[in-house]
Amino acid sequence: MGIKFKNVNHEYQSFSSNEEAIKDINLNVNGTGEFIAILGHTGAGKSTLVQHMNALLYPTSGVVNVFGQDLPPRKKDKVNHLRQKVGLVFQFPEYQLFENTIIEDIAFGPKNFKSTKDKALDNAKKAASAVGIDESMYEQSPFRISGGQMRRVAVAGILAMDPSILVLDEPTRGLDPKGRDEVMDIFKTIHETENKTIVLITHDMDIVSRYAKRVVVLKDGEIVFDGLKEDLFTHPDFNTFNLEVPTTFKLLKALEEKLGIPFKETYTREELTNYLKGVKL
Amino acid sequence: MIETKNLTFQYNKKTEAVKDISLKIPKGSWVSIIGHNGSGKSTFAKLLVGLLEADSGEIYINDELITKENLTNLRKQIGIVFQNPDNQFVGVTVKYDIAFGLENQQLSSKEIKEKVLEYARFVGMEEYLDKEPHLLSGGQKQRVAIAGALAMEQDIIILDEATSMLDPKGTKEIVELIKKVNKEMNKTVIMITHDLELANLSDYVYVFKNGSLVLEGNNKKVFSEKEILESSNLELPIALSIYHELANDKNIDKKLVDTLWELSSKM
Repeated sequence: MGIKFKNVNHEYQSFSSNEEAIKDINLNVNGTGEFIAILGHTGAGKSTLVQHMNALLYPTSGVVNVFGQDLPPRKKDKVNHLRQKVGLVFQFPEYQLFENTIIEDIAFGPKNFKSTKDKALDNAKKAASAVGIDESMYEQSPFRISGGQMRRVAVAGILAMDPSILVLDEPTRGLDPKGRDEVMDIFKTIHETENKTIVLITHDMDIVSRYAKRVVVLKDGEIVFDGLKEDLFTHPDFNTFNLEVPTTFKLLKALEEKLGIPFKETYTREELTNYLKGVKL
Repeated sequence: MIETKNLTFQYNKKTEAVKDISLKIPKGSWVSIIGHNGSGKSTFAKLLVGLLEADSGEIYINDELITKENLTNLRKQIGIVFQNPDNQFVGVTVKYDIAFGLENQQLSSKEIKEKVLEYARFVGMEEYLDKEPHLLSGGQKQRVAIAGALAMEQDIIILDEATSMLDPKGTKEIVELIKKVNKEMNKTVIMITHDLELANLSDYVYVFKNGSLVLEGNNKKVFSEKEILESSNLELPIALSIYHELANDKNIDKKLVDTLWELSSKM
């Protein structure tokens, strides 16, 4: 079980014309164990795509099946429960905080999905500890903490619903390197310890290279690549995807040109350092 | 030239956001102020443009001490562009946004039109004059913000994390534009950033940590201070961090180490 897109199109309607944001999308996302990065230019359709994953948008043609429920739904179908199964964290989620205290804000989601108040609070506490929000902060206002902390509180609010799939729209945007690593490490831990599927939109190729297993590339609303990270950067059409290569690639390419060190795909700083330690000039 | 002497500011009684900062930024230079979130770098920028008032210390612009009386003068010489392109677009269209500051300057409408066109052209947005903000990319909005600041014809322009919300393409557009502003218009550019790769493009770098200035110098000097940078919660670019790791390893060919150092200023 998971999410299946079948020939999905989505058109936004405006006064003068209709604009196709995503075209003929066929995509399967497993309900467990995946770490997918969704890449593409601004305007490629990434946000439109992920908003179909928890029924915030319906296809204008084609079908999305989310944990057994077809979308668009028939009249009597309810879709609300899908948003518990697939948790979506928007860009700048800290703008959506609103409760009086941090712990109430985190507990808001589970409370709405019919869990009892005690259960909701329990989930909220677990989620808070997963994102590194200490118990001593529970009663503080979510508006009187740093930007990085606000973002973690907002992420905890989604985690507290215990979704199977966690969808994140540019979760590290606007954070400094330390904040970025902290946030990414939270998702990595959740993925590794609870086997949850993570789907994330990003522009940062170094995040892709370090964390993602599978990559989906969108261009002008269409999927032009869907496969393993290791196959992306060596794909014959890579240049047409308008993507950057990871810094590790750039650096080793430059070393190949200058010193003749043979190029090899490395995805992290550690891998590249170890490789360089082994080469003989 | 901008000079600060012992500049100190605190938001509340407990913590000093900016502590005893003394520095000198020469006219026409391109400098970066780098630091982690909360290091005081943005607060410092706000003090420079007069959006905040220092608790103690002095600011001099071209050797003139800034006081309450001549603050308006100061504002005429420094422009600032902020992080979020959506929060600083005030006009209904590109041309009204660029004209916004000019409209308070008792210029004729002909003069305003000419200036708007001139600076829209300089930032490459002349074909978008009648476009509304939601039709623009983040990079385009930031270019409009820069045009608005340039139209005020100030000598000094501060960019406060002006690229941190942009995608890689938008960042490149802004970097190219900053180069032009510094080299062709000869303006002093002060870039506030946590991105060491961006800082590497400037002539001189200041490192802030918990409100204090802990390191300054040209790129070469600053980037060789691995410990200070890391203890300031800054992330070294990959080439630089591998350089530092291999530099002390005797089994590594010196040529490789030298090339890594050379490359670290380019990526």
